[in-house]
Amino acid sequence: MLQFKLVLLGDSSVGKSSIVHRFVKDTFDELRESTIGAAFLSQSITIHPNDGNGAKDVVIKFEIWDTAGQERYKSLAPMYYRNANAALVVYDITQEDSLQKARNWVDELKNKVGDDDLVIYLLGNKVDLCQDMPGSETIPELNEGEDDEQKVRAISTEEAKQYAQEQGLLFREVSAKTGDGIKEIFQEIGEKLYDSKKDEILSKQNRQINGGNNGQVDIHLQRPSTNDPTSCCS
Amino acid sequence: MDLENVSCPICLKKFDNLQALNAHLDVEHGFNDNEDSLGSNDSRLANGKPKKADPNDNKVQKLKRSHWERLQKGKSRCHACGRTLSNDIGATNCRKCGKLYCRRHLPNMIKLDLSAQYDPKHGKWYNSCHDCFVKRPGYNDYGEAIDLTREFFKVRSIKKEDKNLRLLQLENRFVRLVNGLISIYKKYNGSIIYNLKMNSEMSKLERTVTPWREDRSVLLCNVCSEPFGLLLRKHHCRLCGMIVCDDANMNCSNRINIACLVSAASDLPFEYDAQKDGLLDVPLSIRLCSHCISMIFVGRKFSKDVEMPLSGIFAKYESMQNIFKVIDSLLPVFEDSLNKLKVETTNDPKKAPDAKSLNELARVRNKLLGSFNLYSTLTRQLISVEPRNQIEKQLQNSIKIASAAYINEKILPLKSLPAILNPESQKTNNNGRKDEPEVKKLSQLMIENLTIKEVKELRQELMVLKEQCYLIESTIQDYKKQRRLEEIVTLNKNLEELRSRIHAVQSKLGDNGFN
Repeated sequence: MLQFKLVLLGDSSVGKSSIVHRFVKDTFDELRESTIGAAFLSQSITIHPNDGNGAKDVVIKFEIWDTAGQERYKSLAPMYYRNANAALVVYDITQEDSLQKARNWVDELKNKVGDDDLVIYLLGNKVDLCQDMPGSETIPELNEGEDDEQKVRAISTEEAKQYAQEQGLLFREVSAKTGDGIKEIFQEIGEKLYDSKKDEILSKQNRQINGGNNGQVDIHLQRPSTNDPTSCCS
Repeated sequence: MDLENVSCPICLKKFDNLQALNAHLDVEHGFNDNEDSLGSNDSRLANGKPKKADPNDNKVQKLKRSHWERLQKGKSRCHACGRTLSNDIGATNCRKCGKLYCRRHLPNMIKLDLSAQYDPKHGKWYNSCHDCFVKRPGYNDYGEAIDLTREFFKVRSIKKEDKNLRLLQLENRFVRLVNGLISIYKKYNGSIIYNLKMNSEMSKLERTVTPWREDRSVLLCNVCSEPFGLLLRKHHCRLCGMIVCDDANMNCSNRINIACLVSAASDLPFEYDAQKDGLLDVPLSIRLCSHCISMIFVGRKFSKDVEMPLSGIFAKYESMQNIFKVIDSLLPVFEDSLNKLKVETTNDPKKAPDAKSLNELARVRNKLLGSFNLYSTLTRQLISVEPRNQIEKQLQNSIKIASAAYINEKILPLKSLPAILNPESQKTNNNGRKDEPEVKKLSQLMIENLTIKEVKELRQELMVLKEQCYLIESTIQDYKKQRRLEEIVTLNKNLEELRSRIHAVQSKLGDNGFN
């Protein structure tokens, strides 16, 4: 089993926690309270690498740090994105500012972490609010009191896509409410991380197999200790 | 010096000659050398010659002594320096107020009548203390002042008028020359006889505008005084007619394009406009000496520059000056109230400084620190502006040095205040426990090395960290119940990290954290 550290960043109320909960518990809460500090969750997925190496399924476990988007918790973020393998930078497609915030996060990540190993995934959330679904006229009637239903798209797919391409980010528009695209994100990240670490993992695996320890295969990804007092951010 | 018209150095009365002044000095001010009219504090002198000379007047001349302070051996002290009076340092009464002084502190002499009142006309000279000397009517520290501003302005206006007339003359010549040259150019431009006619017509016009100096009469350049020769040729300035050289280094004279000249002095009544009439294409230029150039154009360029909006570092410097003024007016207020507070607390250690004045003090201090921050930010911005030339670079450097020195000088007392206050707070703590919180509050307001803003930010971070620490702890408890041991390892790692960070922030905050 592989373990990866994954962190969610983005402006407040763009739906970071909703995405995580959709992924981890496959639930959606209309009235989610805003996150305090950073919440920890974990979930495993299985990927099917087709590299011709026996096509063995690989289980990947994500340690997910869901950070709070509010400004006052900003000082916590470095602790969690440091040594992360992947970062999900989330924005709300109905909120113009949130993309700018997302850009700031991407800049900060690139400055502080360096993007050699880090997979950054730009996510536009809440596509359900702007989808032209058949029979959509009935929905506003049902939820008359809620503002959310009247919202219009403020950030076009093209704009975000172009930005993601410029910065070399993965990009997808998703909906935590409908679950649209959520599974795919983590699958994609898992595959990408597996690809980048494949050689390292396989060599370790081989060494362990050759070493005669056939019963259990235990793989630890090499991550620098987070307690290193000489590291820059402590 | 005009000996015909001398005035008395003491009362400024005018006299026709020195004899009259001398007589006046003798009579009015008592400078007569023959007659010992100087009243003396020295009893030996007083008993001496004048007494013998005027034995009859002796009774009348005795100065009032009833107000004199009695000398008590070993007890009386000099009123100026406080030393015990003795024979060594002398002991004398001020003849006016009667107080006792040592020899050194009775330096002045004033005129007194017999009842020891100041009498500049008929009184006699007696020793007096500095206080009485200064307090006498009509005294001022700087002597008599004469206002000569009016005379100065008179002389100055004559000079100015001369200069203005000269400038007007040059400007008139300049306009005539330019108008004439352009009309000649327009007349012959394009025609066949252009080359033939232009030069002669032009030099004819130039000579009517101003008479040219005779070549042979001049041997030296009018500006740089270099002797002319084969290599240094003579040239005429077309405005003043003087002969100047054409040395490139000295810049004594220059041929300047007519379009440049017209646009540089566009307020003059030219018949042509630099842009409208296409003067930019006119291949004419006029030789001007550096004197005429500075006369006509320097003033114009200056006023143009002044009108232009400030750019780059100058705008920044102006706002720096404004902040500087704010700091300069606030700092004394702050120091005064702080001193007052300090004196109050030292005089009466039991009494706690009231919260109102403390708050006021903290408010002023905050404002000051804010101004200093702004000042240093502006300085940094100013330094980061790309200099346009060498001079601006130099300016930037000097401003940087001056600003750094200023901030260091002014902000040190501001930041070292708690050091002054802390020993006091310890003292009061020993005396009485109950005013401890108040004193602590005072020292808390004077936060040592951190500005209020930094402290706020650090406190916020500490709060967030503690919250998160609690959250993780409770998550660990939950996970323990669920037996999810692998996650607990990760969480424990994070908890450790959080705790070390909390420790770091707390040590940074020092006494300013939460207690």
